[in-house]
Amino acid sequence: MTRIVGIDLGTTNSLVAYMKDGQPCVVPDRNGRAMVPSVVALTDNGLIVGDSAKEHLTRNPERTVYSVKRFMGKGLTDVQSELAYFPYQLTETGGVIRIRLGEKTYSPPQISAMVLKELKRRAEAYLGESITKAVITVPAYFNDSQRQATKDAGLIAGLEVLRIINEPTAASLAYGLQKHTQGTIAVYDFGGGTFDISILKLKDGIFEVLATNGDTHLGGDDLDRLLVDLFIGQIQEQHGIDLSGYPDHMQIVRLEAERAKIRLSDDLKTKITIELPNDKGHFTRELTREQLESLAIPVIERTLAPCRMALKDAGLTPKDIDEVVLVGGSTRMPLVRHRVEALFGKAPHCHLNPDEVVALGAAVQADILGGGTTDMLLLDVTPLSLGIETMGGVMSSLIRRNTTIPASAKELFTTYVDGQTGVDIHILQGERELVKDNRSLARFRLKVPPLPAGVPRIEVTFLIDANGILNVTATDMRTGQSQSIEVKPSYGLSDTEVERMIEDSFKFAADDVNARKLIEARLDAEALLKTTNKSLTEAGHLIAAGEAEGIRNALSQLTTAKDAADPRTIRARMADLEQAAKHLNVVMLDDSLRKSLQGKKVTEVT
Amino acid sequence: MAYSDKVVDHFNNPRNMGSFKKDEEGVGTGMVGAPECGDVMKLQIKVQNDTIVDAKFKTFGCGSAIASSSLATEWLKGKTIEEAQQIKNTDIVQELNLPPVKIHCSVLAEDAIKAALADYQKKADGEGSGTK
Amino acid sequence: MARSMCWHCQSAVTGEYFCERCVKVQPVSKETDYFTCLGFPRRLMLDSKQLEAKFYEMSRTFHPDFYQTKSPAEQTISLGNAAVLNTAYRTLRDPIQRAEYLLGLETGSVKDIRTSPPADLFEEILELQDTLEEYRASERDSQEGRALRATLETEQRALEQRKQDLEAQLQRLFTEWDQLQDRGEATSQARADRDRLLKQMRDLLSNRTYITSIVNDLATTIA
Repeated sequence: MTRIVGIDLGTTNSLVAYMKDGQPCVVPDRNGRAMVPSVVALTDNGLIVGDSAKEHLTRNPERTVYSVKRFMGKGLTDVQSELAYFPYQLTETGGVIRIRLGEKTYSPPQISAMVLKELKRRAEAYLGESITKAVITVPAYFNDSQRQATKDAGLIAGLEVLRIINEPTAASLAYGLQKHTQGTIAVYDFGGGTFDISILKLKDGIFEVLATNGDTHLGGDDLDRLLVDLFIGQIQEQHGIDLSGYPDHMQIVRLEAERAKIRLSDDLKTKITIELPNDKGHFTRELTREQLESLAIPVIERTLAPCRMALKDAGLTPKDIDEVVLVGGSTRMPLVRHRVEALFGKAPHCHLNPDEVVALGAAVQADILGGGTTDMLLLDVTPLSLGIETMGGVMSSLIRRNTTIPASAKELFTTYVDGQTGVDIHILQGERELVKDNRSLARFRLKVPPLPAGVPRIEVTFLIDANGILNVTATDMRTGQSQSIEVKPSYGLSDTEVERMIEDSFKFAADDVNARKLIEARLDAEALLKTTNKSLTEAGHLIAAGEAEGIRNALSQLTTAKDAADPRTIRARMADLEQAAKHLNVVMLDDSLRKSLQGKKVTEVT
Repeated sequence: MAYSDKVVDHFNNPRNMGSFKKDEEGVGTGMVGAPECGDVMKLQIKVQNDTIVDAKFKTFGCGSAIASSSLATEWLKGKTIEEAQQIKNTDIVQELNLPPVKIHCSVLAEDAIKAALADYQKKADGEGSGTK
Repeated sequence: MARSMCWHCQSAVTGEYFCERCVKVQPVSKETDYFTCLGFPRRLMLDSKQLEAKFYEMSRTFHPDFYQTKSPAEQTISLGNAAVLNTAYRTLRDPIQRAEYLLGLETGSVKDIRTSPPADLFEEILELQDTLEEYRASERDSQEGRALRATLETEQRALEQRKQDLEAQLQRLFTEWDQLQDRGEATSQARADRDRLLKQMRDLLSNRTYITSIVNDLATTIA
């Protein structure tokens, strides 16, 4: 049985987890960190992912992609209002957003695939085996296009996606496994870019979702933006600089805003320091938790309406909820905890690591699919109503929201004109009455044999599978023949496009390994050059002239080697440089130790 | 799915909304409901010399039900009683391009026409025989 | 229940959901009604706890999660069966939907029981709709708006009360239906009772639908 991993593909960070002796565990990197920043950067040395890519946010903002999850399954008009916040360039082809990185453009699934590949690599290195199958989580409120885009990302990354599972329900699996709770729980999942609320009934190993609701465009990112707007307004006022013209500084502000927000979950006040462009000094101010909270209140309030709606759909009141479970980094904010407590009338459970619990739950689901865990079963629901367009631009529902999946609906179509050979069907998802207010999923033309009006009878089955993804089939009731339907997604990659992307990804896989080694070697070399140059400037006078000359020589050799295309040469020159600078480093260490000891009594040292 | 301007117009600006007095001479009233969805439709005709000179409706229900009754009243005007009997729900389905889930709206409109005609006949027969 | 051949080994299927010879899952027949599917008799007063327990048990039998390692054919069957099971449970879980469904089964189609439309109720609904239109067109804070709102709120309360009364009446009919079925008599009196009950339930359910529909419209407009 091949191993199936669980992946939390997050807006800000992503994680991979696996099942070990009946308990889910996250896969750490060499430094023990489990989270991979969901950031992809195009550098002179190629594409890089994760922590090293995150460093490029401020250095190379136009070529560093973050929060790509916000663009999954979307067209450009969907994100028009927030385009100004992203330093990288977005375009659209065939209803799908494309992100320009240098000469090429990439679809959001391709960018997400790079993050998935990084997780795959990490799991393979850690577990010492090839990983080809995964369960990937998505926000519960993701629509069909967004789910499909996530599945496409997995395929492009060389992963067979056995299941798309909702983040809050994944969290409930990890929680349930740990706590053996029976009763009704609410999972409040407030992440970097999305918000979900799910209400579940836990009974004898069955996790039955009663209702779910949410907002796929509401998260910690929105709080960061409020702070960014505040800071750049003040910088404009106090220093007369409009930072919006400096993409790199905008990223510095964004990251500082994010860090300050995080610090204020523990501290009551914090100091903001932002370096200004053109040597104009620094912008500094103090930010209190109270100030942050007064900005955050409207955003947090927006999470409460979906909570009330979910309760109503589940036919419950707050007092029916036995436990509230918090998931997602944004739930670390004390104000969020207070508001949730006020709504449900009980203190939320926050003993789980909100960053890891979703990935852990995905690993549990992976184990269920693999046949390892047999006593647990998740019965999830579809978050949005599914319907078709009817007269006058009105949507009529076929499968209501919060219907347990798999769910199916059948419709019998016929013709009203003699010899009519087709019926156009437009599939939608959403809760509004008018087609234009709902999400267009796909269109297709039902083929009908040319017969007198009313004679053809074609039964169309709309089936939402356990991934929450729609499948459409048609049967001619007269002949019993089934008809294949070519569905054209409104906001998704076509099958042929996904196939091409998978091919591309395999074609370049071999190159990728080499390219990756080269990138890593170059990054390491750059770091070594930087520190050695610094040491030489600071402590060069402490060593012999000949020795300094030797180091300079090794430095220039490595600088040359760095631009070559062979990672082995770079590593060799690095070793040379390290050898040449070994004594310098010892001397420097002694020197700094001596300086720090000056003025202290000998007794204090010994 | 493209709809003709006429259809969208029936939906946005339904014609002949309103009602006649029930006991007015020559008025037939049809009152029907769809128990599956809770839609209610009242359709009235005003007849002179065996010809429908005016028609009005009131509908409580979805857009398709309103458009179906609006279309029905438009069609009824100028028709003789006999011609009006010929209107079928499938004609409405075809004209409005109603999908399967909304076919019951057209059935409701046909039922309303039939009920209004029957009510007119009943009243006419009653008046004819002098029993009021 | 007469069952066809196993799709896999072609032997006659005798087991409930699985072929006893090759242990492959069998598709739930299209003719199986939701009561049979969940293993309950055609009764209207079902115990919700028992229903849920049976649904959970059958979910463990059919859910696609447990067929991930099986053949594509078995995966497709499990997906279809799980979808049928979910629809069956959703329908039978709600007493009103359950009754509507049973009426459909017993009479072929809901439409087959011809009942006289409740003309008074219709007039009331259409009049109320006029008031709603007036309210929608009025200034909410004007004296007229406030007066209309008060009228609508009174109407809403009255209609909700009527709905409750209807549901209480339905409950009694449901019990009567179950008792009649339990006796299982084939007398002409029993047949007459059956037809009367079906017609009464049809009328009450229809009226309830009309009232629910206008109450929802009232609630969203006033809210």
